[in-house]
Parts: sequence; structure tokens; C-alpha cells
Amino acid sequence: MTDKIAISVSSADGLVATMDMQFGRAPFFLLVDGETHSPIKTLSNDASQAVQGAGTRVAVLMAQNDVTDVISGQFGPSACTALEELNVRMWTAPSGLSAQEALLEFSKGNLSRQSIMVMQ
Amino acid sequence: MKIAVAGAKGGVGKTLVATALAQYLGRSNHRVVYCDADVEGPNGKLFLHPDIERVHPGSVTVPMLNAAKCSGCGTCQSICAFNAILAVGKKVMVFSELCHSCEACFIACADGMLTRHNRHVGNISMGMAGNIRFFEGALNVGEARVAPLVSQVVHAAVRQAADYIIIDNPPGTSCAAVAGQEDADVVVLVTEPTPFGLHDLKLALALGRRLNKSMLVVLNRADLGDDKDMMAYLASEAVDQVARIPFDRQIAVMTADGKSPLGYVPAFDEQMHHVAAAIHRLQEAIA
Repeated sequence: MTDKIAISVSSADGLVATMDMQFGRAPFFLLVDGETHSPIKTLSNDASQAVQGAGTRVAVLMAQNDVTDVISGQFGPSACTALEELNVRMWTAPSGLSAQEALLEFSKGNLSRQSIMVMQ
Repeated sequence: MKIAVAGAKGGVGKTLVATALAQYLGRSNHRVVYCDADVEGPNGKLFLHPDIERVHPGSVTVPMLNAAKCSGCGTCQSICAFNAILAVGKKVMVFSELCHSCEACFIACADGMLTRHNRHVGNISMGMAGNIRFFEGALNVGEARVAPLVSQVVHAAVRQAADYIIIDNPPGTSCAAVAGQEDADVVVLVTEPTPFGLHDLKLALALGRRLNKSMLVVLNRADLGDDKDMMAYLASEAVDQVARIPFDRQIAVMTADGKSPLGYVPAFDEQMHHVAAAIHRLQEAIA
């Protein structure tokens, strides 16, 4: 199975969408093919308005969609634990990038890997 | 009589009024309990200097998973309204810090794979401060859920045989504030004549109304600013302002030094007398 990348974005506009910096609260996730970077689909995040535990629910959404890598701005502690447990790699991008720009930085190896170790 | 000292805004003098009221009422041989329910920052001890006799752990019930035998059916996740249990494939994870102890998951799990576990969230201390029986709840740093420990310390305090039980409430109008005042016979709202003080008083008053509470208002630092809007609002809401504590250097110096101004600043004593008198009037009206 090939890698599948999810990027937290603020709108359902494909690769030109601007990134949303909060993993759990992002309204949409753009899924792209890990090799070609071509868009597969946009997922809407039903948990974005959840009172609590949004991040953990999105972690499940990622796993259900076979996501291997997720690019966002910040991951909450519970989301971080869940994603790690579900073997989804977390990458943090600086704010202000479009999905396409974030992918470019990702492929250049410019994004930093987030893990529980980093969180603690 | 159970008296909650509350107010939505932080730093208006809730603890100053609550501790002074406990001391004032304790002077006339009443049995007085002071309960510090501001569990995220309990500081009544700074004024009352209690001798702590016992410390009990406060805990909440959370599920613990028997992962080895779990079938991974996911029923627990679908029943959990708080996203505290995740099930992906056969993998089930419990995030106990998100759990609200509703215990629905224990009922939902037909296989009995979830067992009750006590999660320690803080401590309840008990002791004496002179003739005042002292209770304090202190939440562990980083704990997200405040209300359960507030309820636990309040319930411990209100079980005491006493003439007056003073509950020093957490600020705000969230679950923690509700837990701090739901058992009270009267709520003393402390505020100050500033735009923030007025804004948050409106929230606190709305909460008290929802809880059907008798309310009194104490204006602290009463001569600090322009109280015209505050007084107009109180008149329109028909709430009694029973005391006006002056913005006084000596009070500030004493509180900064961990001393109660009661018995040292006559103007302060006079205002506490007004608060106590208003409470006595309410007490007679209730009886």
C-alpha cells in the first residue's frame, strides 16, 4: 500500500487551500497520494466543533482513511498519543502555507517530525 | 446555613470576603466551616493559617481496558459522548483525562472488558483555623476537569454540623462554579466597580438566577472607579448591594502580608458587619 498524506486545511479547495494550523479543529483534511502528490479527496472534519476530544476523533478519521502521514501546525497531547498508537506520522509546518507549498516542503525534507517524545 | 461566596471575575476579593466572613461569624461562638472550593488556586489558607489534620485523595472513576481479551467491537467508543475512548480496527484506546465519569461505557461493554479505576485528581485537606473548621480542595496541576473535586470538597464540608458553612467558590460560570454553589442557601457575589467587574457580575447573576439562588452583592474596592453603571444595573435587577469595602491602602498591605484586615481596619469590620446582618435577615426570612 502506498503512502497517503493528509494536510489540515481551512477550505475544500484542493491543493490551493490554505493550511489550518490546529489538527483537531481544522475544518477539512486534503488527502493526497504519497508519491504523486495528486489529490485523492477532501475529508470534512465533523469533530471540529466538538466540546472536547476533537483531536482523538480526527486521529481515528486518519486511520480509517489509511493515512500514513499527516501535516498540520499543532497536535494536541491526546491526538499525538492516538496518532502515534495508530502509526500515523505527524509533521509540523509553519503557518501561512498552501497545501501544495506544504507538500513541497515535506518532499524537500524541511518539515519537522512530531512525536510524543517531542511533546513531553 | 450554607453561604457560597462567588463571582465570575477573578481577583475581586472572593477569598478576602469569604475568610473574613468566616472569622466574623466565628467570633460570636457560632460553629463555622470554611471550605476553599477554588481548587485550581486555593488560597484561603493564606488568610486563615489552618493546622491541617488530615489529607484525603480526591478521585474520579475512569474506565480501564482489559486489552488482552477485548474483541474490539467499538461499542464503547460509540457510547462515549466525550471522545475519551477510541476504537480503530481491533485497537481500543482510553484517554482517561477526557473521561467525564458518566459510566455509560461500563454498561455498554457487553463483554465486561472495562473495569472501574480511580484516577487521582487532587487532594482534600481538613483542619482547624482557630475555631473555624477548615476544608480545602487542591486540584493536581494539569488536570482538566475541575468540577468533580469541587463537588467532593463541598460535600465533605456541608456534612459538618455547623451554624454557617462558607464556600469560597472558583471564579467563572462553568461547571466548577455551579458545583461550588448548587448546595448554597445564599450566594454572596463579590465584584468591583470596573467594566470587567460589571460584565462578569452580569454572568454570575444570570447563573445564580438559573440556579434559583438568593443573591447579595458585595462591592469591593467600591470607591475605585465610577460605580454609576454598576448601581443602575443592580437596581434594574433588584439585587441588594449589602456592603461597600473601600479601596484602602491598609487593607491592601495586610492582605499582601497574609493577614486578614478583620479587627484591624474599622471600615472593613463595618462592611463585614453589613454582610453578616444581610445574611441574618435572609436566614430569618427563610426560617
